[in-house]
Amino acid sequence: MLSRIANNLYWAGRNLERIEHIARFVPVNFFASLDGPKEADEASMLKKLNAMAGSVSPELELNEGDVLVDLAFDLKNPSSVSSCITLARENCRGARDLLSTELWESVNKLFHYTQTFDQDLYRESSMHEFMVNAKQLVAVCKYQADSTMVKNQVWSTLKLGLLLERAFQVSRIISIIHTEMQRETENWDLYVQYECINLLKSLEAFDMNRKFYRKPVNAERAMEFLVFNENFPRSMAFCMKEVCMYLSNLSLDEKGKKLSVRMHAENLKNELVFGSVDDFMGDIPAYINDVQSKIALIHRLLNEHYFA
Amino acid sequence: MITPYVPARQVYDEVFDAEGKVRPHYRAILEHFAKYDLEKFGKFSEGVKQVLNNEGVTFAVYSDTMKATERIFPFDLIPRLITGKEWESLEKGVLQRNEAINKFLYDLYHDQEILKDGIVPEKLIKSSAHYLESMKGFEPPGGVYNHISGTDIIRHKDGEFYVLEDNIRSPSGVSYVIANRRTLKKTFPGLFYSYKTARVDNYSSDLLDMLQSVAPDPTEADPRCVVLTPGVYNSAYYEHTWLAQSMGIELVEGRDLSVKNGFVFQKTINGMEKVDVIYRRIDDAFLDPTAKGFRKDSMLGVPNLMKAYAAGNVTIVNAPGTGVADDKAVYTFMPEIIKYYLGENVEMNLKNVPTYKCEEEDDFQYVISHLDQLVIKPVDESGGYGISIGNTLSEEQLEEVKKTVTTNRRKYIAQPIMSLSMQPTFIEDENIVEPRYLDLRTFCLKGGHGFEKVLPGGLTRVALKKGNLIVNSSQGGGSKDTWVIE
Repeated sequence: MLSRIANNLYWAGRNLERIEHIARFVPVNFFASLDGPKEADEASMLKKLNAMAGSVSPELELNEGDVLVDLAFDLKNPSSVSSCITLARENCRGARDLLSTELWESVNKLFHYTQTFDQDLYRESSMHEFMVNAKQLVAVCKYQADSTMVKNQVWSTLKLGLLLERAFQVSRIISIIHTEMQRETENWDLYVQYECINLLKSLEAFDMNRKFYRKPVNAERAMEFLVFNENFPRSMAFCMKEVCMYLSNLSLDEKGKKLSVRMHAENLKNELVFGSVDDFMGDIPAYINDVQSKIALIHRLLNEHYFA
Repeated sequence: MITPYVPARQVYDEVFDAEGKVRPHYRAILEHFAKYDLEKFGKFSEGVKQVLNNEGVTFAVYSDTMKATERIFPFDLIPRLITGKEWESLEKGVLQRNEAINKFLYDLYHDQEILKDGIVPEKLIKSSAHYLESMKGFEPPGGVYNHISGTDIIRHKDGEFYVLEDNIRSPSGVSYVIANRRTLKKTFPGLFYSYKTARVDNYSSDLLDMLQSVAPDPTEADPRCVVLTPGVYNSAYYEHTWLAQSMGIELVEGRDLSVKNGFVFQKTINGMEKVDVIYRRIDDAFLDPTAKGFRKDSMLGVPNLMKAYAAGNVTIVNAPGTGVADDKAVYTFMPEIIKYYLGENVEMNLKNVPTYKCEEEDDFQYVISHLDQLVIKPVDESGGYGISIGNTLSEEQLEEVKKTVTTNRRKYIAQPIMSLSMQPTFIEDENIVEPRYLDLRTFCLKGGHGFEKVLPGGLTRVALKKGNLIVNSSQGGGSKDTWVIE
């Protein structure tokens, strides 16, 4: 597979995955705040949404209408839903000849859906509809990738991008919500529980978390589930296990151990799979920072040595 | 839905004869469409646009924001039919023509007998921007220069087919043939019941066979063929991806390739891989920034590609330098070229637009007295310089042309202004079906070991603006599915 094509596929995966996270995060946190505890005011909610959309707007000037519209449609912001899908589609166009027709058409359909959505309607009443449909159209793309592509290097590169991005987005979502939890408040327990539920719902992990622990949601169980549970598809441990598998499918690393992208990925995977929540709860920001910088290193090695 | 009409005089209509009666082979088509009114038909047409849009069968126009405006190539749902008998002679004609062009190119880049014999003026060739000195004496793999040719054909008012233009550099449009057929089948399956229509979807496997047949090393069991594109921003990018995808080969850009020790390699995530055949969709001038006479600033090409080609280590399709044979001025000599290479008595299967040579007395007299109905061209200028179109000129200008031609009779030739045939076409903006002008681009493949094939039918291009004779997509043209029927 051509290096340039690999780069396109990898980014197609990353951009496609990004859409889904923002499309989940925004409605969950927006709607929860409408009747949430008093600490969860509009400013706090907008701060979260703005952070999720890449913090392009200055924090003090946030207003609800603009934040919601911009994170969906602003093409100047590379983290908006529209930008991610435009980029994902351009990436797919650049590798069009290697994708199945079905995958390409589902990406294209998602693109046209977001590009032609009525923004006034969105502002007025249809944010939920827009996000849910975008998320479902992403799901169709992923289904087509899994069911109509040969499981070869092309597919593995696309999946590598998807899973690495997912690991990264999970870490971001944890970090954004954890930051909000640090506020001084009288009803701290209640407020933390509220944000933990948002956290789990933002990753569609709420139902499974309760089933898994058979206990009410709390911060420790939420974090443990999303960071270390290697069997849950939206945990960082699971994502890194998959990343390692796709890296091994690609049979890279013929260039010497010094550059071993696999070694770095395997190390991070082991930390997550064999780590425990106690390592984590002590200093959450430091732990998240560390994971994110390791993901960034893997990304850099791929880019510099294989995809360029 | 399609109301019969009496076609304009001086124009051949594909569907209705001079009295407004339906030609027999279109009867079932008209019966089928009689089931729909314009409103319903308009809805189908709208639905088709959606499908093509989702499939990405589009041209893109980019602005400075990330937002691209994409247009589909308008597709008219009323198909154009070519009878088996008509096709038989069209196909023969296309093959004959491209055979002659290939021999012509070989001669031009070797002994130049045709120039020495004075059949084609030497100056015409040497002044052509597409003549490549570096190709002289080179033996192209498989002996083929014009692997892929697009021959533009029109039907004149006399009902006969004429070649309007040969395209032997990078003829485009074949992907739309396939997309049109796929779409029409999905939209109106019933249309096909009454006909036995020739398939078009074999084209890509034929193309791959052809590419492999001209691989530089005949002992290579599985030669690696690639499609070379200028990139995602090219307006024909959809076609490039379709070509690569449907053949199952790689779509590469210049920056993916490099030349080492005289061989061409592509850069992959697992290292370098040798490339054997390059189907390039970029112009000669951009192929290799290091080659003499090519663009030094080309970012689309591959440094030293021409050296690898000259060493016989890679095949470029079509061969560099073929453009010299599809010049408008060379076109006028095509009957002589065909006779020169295929034999004095060969029957011309496909007509050239007749050419009057002013140096011959009878022709000259005719030209002088019919100037306003003719196109006047200098014989030895390439690239369309010095052409006068009679019916666009004022009295004074006509006098001027008459004087120029009379003082230099050897230098000028003239051709009648040709008319295109028409066919009922759905016009979306006005919600009507009206006759519009159309032409046909055929696609012919030529490979090693005598491989030659013409895609049945081709791309019918239709001018959607009333009275417009220009069918190009850039001028608001659309296309129709083209059937070769038994």
